[in-house]
Amino acid sequence: MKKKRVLVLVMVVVFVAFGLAACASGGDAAATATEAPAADAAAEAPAADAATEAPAAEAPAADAGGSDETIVIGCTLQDMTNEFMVMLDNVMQDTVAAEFPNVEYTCLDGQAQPETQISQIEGFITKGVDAIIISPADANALIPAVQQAVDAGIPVICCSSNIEQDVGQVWCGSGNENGGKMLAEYICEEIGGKGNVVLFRGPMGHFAEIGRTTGVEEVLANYPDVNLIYDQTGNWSREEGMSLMENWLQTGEQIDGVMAENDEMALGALVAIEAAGKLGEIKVCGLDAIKDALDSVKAGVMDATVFQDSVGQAQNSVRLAVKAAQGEQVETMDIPFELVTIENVDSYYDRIA
Amino acid sequence: MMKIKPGSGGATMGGKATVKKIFSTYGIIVAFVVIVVVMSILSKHFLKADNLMNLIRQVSFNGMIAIGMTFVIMTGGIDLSVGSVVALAGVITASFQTTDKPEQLMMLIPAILMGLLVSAICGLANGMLITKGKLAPFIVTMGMMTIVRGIAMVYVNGRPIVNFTDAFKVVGGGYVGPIPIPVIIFAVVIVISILLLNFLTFGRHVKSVGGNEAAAKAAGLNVDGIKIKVYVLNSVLAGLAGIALASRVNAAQSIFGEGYELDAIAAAVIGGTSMSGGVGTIWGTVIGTLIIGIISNGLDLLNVSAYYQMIAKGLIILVAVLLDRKNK
Repeated sequence: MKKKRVLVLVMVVVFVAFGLAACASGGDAAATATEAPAADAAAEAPAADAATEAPAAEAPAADAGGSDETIVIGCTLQDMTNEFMVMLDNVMQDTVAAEFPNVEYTCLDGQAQPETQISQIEGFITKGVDAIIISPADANALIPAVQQAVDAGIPVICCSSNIEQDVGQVWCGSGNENGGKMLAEYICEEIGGKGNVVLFRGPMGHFAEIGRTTGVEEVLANYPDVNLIYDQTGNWSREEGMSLMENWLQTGEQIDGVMAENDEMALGALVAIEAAGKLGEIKVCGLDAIKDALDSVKAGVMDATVFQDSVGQAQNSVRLAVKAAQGEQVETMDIPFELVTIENVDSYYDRIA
Repeated sequence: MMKIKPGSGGATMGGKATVKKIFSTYGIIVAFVVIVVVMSILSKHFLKADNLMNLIRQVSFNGMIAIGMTFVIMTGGIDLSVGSVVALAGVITASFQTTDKPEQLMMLIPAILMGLLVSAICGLANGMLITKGKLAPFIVTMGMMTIVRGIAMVYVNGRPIVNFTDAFKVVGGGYVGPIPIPVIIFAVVIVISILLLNFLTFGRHVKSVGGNEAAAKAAGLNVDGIKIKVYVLNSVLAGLAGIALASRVNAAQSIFGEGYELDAIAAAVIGGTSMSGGVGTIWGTVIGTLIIGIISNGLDLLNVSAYYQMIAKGLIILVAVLLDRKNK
């Protein structure tokens, strides 16, 4: 009895502490938490919302309807606990508010489950939305669902990440290959087209790792005098980037350039380079343009990083969705990566989430 | 290698146990020597003093956790939450040592103590739920793993903490003479743990609890109290590793330490700690930690493809344990 009471007490304390911590963390988390269920309810109970229901019912028949009619866009994003996804949602909401007063935008939380997103898309089809925007949680699992929507005559925009197969969706994002190319191109040029470079990959088999590595390899093929002497995965992690670089520096081999497929690994490598007293001798470029990396570029430590314009991805996804819903033919849109160096770093602080 | 006296805590052990211990000792040493010899033949850089110091610094973080894990496994338990504690302790201490938040800057020592205190609370929660709640250690610490990681994420809102004070940078990045400070911390942890396990009653109690819990209870030992202490000790060591790690990489992140529990368990097991409890040594775990570190360091030096590294690491761990078994 007594033991049980102690146990209950401990549990209560833990949960209360956790609850308080969650509240104290403030705005962001709370906003996401309340927003998601609200959006869910709206989607699951369409009858409750007459304004939504009326145009939705007509939509499949009147596909190329007039532009002053309400356009309904259903959106499902990978996972609303992911800050990047919350940012995409915010940008899409802002774009709708600023540019398309006649668009009704609903965003659902895919909860990182492809099954959830599949049923959400099925819901959108039943509801008869005019266009669907999706950031797929799984590049393969969602192919049939997207196909189903396209077959039902609903245009599907894949925002940021795409699905593996072309079933008639329109992709609006930045190809990882191009990011890898920009990264490798920068390092190869900086070392004068000649020398030894190393590559930190993402987790083996991760879609971004595959894309970025492909881009890097394509560029390296054009530089016969640049040797890729070490090529390993740092699993996106700063710690692993650091120990890998420490070990490579131990071999005493001349290293002229470091290509890291994300900024975390580049920052880790820089810790090792600094400890070895080789800062400035080795060119380092990351990818993603996280705030830490911008700070490092600004301080003249990291040489460059590559910026992915996720705001542009979200804005253009909405624009494409509206156009497609109005019956216009829309095409895949590749939002270009941008190279961030000490010269232009200041302008990027406002553009990252 | 160092001189090892098998069964140095032997006052409490029977003759048979000591003999068995000697054999398990040789098993792991054979494996260790083989790996060192192979690596030094394959890579001319491996035995350089610089690389060895680099290697020891790299393993010191996992080493601290593995030593704590050894105590836990010796009581017949397991602790999966250490990786998350690494992250939480790191972000807590770092949050009081960053110039980005001048309003909550603290002196170094209190900031470190805050991190360790929070770690101790995690360990206490583990210990209480396991003993008083009579729940399986695997389940309790698996739950705590997620909870503690979540708390770390909430605490920093998922963002890394950077721009540390100069004092804090020294903890993981500094040197005393030629020796990196994390290596010194690791050495101190080793010495204290050997004292605890082999020369103080606490160690004898840990071994009895793991060897035969019912007998320990019958002999009047406070089994629950001993277990709780062990989980607290383990969490504090994980916290210490987390604080040093954050300082070392110049950033504290809520994602740090993922998967560290597995490396720590592997090091303890390679070092001859029995998963069923009662048997284990600190120096064995230290060698286990070194073996794991050497595999990683050596394969990096040899530029073994990342795909093959994963396979090689797993195989070498299995072979080391098999060698150990054969010699028992």
